[in-house]
Amino acid sequence: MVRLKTLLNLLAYGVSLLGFLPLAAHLDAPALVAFPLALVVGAVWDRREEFPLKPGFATLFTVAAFVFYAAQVSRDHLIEPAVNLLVLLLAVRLLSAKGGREYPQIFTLSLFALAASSLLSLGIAYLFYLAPMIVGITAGLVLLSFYKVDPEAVLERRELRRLSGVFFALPATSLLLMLAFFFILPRTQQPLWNFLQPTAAASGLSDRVIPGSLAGALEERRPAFRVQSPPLPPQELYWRGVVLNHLDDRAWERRTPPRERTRVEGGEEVRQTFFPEPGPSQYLPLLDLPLELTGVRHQRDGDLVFSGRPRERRLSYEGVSLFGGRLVAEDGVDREFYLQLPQQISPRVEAAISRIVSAAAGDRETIAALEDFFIERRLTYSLDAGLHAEDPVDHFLFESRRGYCEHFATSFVLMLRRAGIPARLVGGYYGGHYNAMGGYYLVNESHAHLWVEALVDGREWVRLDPTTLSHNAAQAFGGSGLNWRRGLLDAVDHFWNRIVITYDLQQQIELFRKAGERAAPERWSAPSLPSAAALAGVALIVALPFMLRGAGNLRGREQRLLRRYLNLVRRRHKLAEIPPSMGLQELAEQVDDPACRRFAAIFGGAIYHDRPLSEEEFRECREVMKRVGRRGKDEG
Amino acid sequence: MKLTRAGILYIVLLLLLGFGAVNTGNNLLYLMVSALLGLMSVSGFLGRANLRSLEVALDLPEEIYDGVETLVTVRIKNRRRKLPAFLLQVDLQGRSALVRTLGAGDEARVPVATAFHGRGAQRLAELRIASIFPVNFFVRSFAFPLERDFLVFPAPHPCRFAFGSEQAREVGGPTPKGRGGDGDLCQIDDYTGAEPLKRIHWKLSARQGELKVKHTGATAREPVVLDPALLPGRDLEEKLRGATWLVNRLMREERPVGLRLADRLIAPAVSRGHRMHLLRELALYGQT
Repeated sequence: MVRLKTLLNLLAYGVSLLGFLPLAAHLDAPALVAFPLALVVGAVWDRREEFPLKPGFATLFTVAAFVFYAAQVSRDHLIEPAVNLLVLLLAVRLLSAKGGREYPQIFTLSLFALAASSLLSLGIAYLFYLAPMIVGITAGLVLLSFYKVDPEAVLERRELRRLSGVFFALPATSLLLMLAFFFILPRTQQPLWNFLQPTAAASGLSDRVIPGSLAGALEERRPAFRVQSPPLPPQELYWRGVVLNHLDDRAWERRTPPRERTRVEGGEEVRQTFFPEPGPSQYLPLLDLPLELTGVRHQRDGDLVFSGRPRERRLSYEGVSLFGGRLVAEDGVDREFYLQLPQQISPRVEAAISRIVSAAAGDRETIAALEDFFIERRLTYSLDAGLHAEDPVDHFLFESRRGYCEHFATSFVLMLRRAGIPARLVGGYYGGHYNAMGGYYLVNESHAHLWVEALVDGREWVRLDPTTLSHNAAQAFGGSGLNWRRGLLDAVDHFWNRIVITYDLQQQIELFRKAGERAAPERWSAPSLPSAAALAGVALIVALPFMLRGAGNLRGREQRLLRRYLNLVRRRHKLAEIPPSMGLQELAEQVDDPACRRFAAIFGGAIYHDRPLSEEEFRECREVMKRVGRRGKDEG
Repeated sequence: MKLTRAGILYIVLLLLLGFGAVNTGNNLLYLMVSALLGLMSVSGFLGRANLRSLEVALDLPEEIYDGVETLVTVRIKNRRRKLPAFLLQVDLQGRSALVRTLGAGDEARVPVATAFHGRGAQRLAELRIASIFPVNFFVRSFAFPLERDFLVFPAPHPCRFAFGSEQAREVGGPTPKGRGGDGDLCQIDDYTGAEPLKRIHWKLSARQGELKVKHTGATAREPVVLDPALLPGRDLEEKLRGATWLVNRLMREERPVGLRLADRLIAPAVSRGHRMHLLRELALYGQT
């Protein structure tokens, strides 16, 4: 036996803790200390049925906290005061007397606290707070119904056992229905309070590179984007982002490229779906060489750079690339633009270029000679190369001979230009971890990369990656795959973002459209995960009343048996119709059949005593039915 | 179905969160709103299911008097095989009683103290059972058809009347000592509804699970024939109330009582069946 109030107290502690935990990292010291303290003190005093905070003090404290945090509210500082206030109100409630009004208040405040946490973080952890909170609140609301009729009730073990089914079925079905409602609830094109969305940490591609600046990013394991794509040869995974075409003092930057007509040809068409992490970058990476992009508003430049608006929210887009294709400049390019050089080039670099150019005939030979030069220098790929302010190219090639992609690419592109070959830098990502569980590549910030494109024979832009010319390139780019645990966690995170976080009006319309199409029998095919969930949910809503109806009227087996029996009797005794009002015994007498009499005795014995047929009776009834109308034959 | 205050507050909460979800486009808020909507939907279905497949019957006491509180037993049977029923509130004649849980296949007997008004033949067409289960958002109620006919006797009203006049006629010698109101405890019997509540033997009733009454001894008295029309009273109803009181009072004292009606005479006797016969006649007196 357990007191109802004890159960409600336990649920109130649990639910309020689930409201507090997701906010804990964002709270000020007073709220951070007050809540655990209130939880412990409240629980101890509840056992004594005394309450440390009298109603007057509770009101006073609530008003003071409200005034204090309301004074801090501004448009840019809205959520933090609100969550602190919510947690303090929860603490006050835990310390006060609890009754029929206070328990729902605790549940409501906890719900609001969890709701507020969604404005601070979009992680999947939210789901692990929401689901148990729904279970707790559901159980709490059921118990509150009992509390309303008898606040001092003591529940016996038998009652608790009966209620356990409700405690399981109610939240479980609610959470199932949640899936359905989530996909069908109305959404807007442009939410009015978009500013309340949590902002992500800055990351992504920049349109200005100073050699040495990428080192930090290259060490970061933070995801840059995920892309659903078939597996591709790892050494060819170049994700094109931005083209840097102008050298300004030491920094390579992007200037509006000259108008040029380019064409991508050859190669294998690869379709990808991108899920970039939010960030300030406007560039939309695609597999090199990109052909087209759909799904977001964007601008496409002649140098195959796709840019949109900074990604404040999670989004997804589709891309089509020609893997292993050729980028052809149809009408040539503005050579002067792509041959622009710094004002000063060191004598050692000048001398090296002169040697290379004098020995080579044509662009391809020059490039090959330049690559040989890089190999001869035995350059080392290293992230701790540092930055040499005076002349980074000279220092890299002749002094330190250590560097990472920026040093290799900026030196190579400068020497190409000095040798008279139009060239540019391409910024993006190289490689990625293929997650076989999710069927996608995870590309981290550490995969950020810079390579070179050179215009060969004035017609074709050729990708060159000078970093691979380092003597330790094999080790540096060998990389390690995702172990199963990281792979699983990342797959979960990816699908959470893909299915839940990025779901918007556009996807909803698409979902309904596809659902409509699939409803047509001739177009029926296996539904995707969200649409399957939505359809299952809707089906559940429709089916539930019938299921419950079936559960409430548990005589289906007997009804079916009776129906079969009556049909049998009608057929074998050649009766036109058996009136519904005719009893089984009456029917047996009318047809004068011992089998029918036996059936009536067994069936009536059970049903008229308001109990279902036992297994044995059910079997016997079926046996008896085989003899219905066969008396003559058996006897004959 | 009636929306409760808690239900209204829940809907307001849902609207607030829904408004927040739509205006922020935050899918985590959408998840929360969806779960709360799901909870509301399922609670609606469960609430409906809770009142289905119940079988309701009424055990009325043999003697029901106009306006006098009596214990009516409502029998509720849960005909479901697996699903229990919860928080069933029986509403009868403005009085209510509660069944907290009722297991699948179980039957509950709920005593409801209630009063019926107006003598004569009456019919209880239906019995209403309400429930706030599973959550107190809605009060659902369901009327179970009863079509139960019964008689309400006139309310007994003390009638000071001097026997021995033309109203009283001796028909025999002294009767043996029997049950009455002022002697020693002589018998324990089932509660019929006629006995005053103070006669209920609560301890024994609790032990045996049904109401038991104590009967005490009384001394015998002389027989009488009552003519309601001649009894004191401002109107017929008051006279009938007096007659009822006299019938019960005299027969409790084992005094044979008869009844003179407009068209016939019911001879005095002293059995329980006879007393019920007289009370029925009084209940229907003047009614066609």
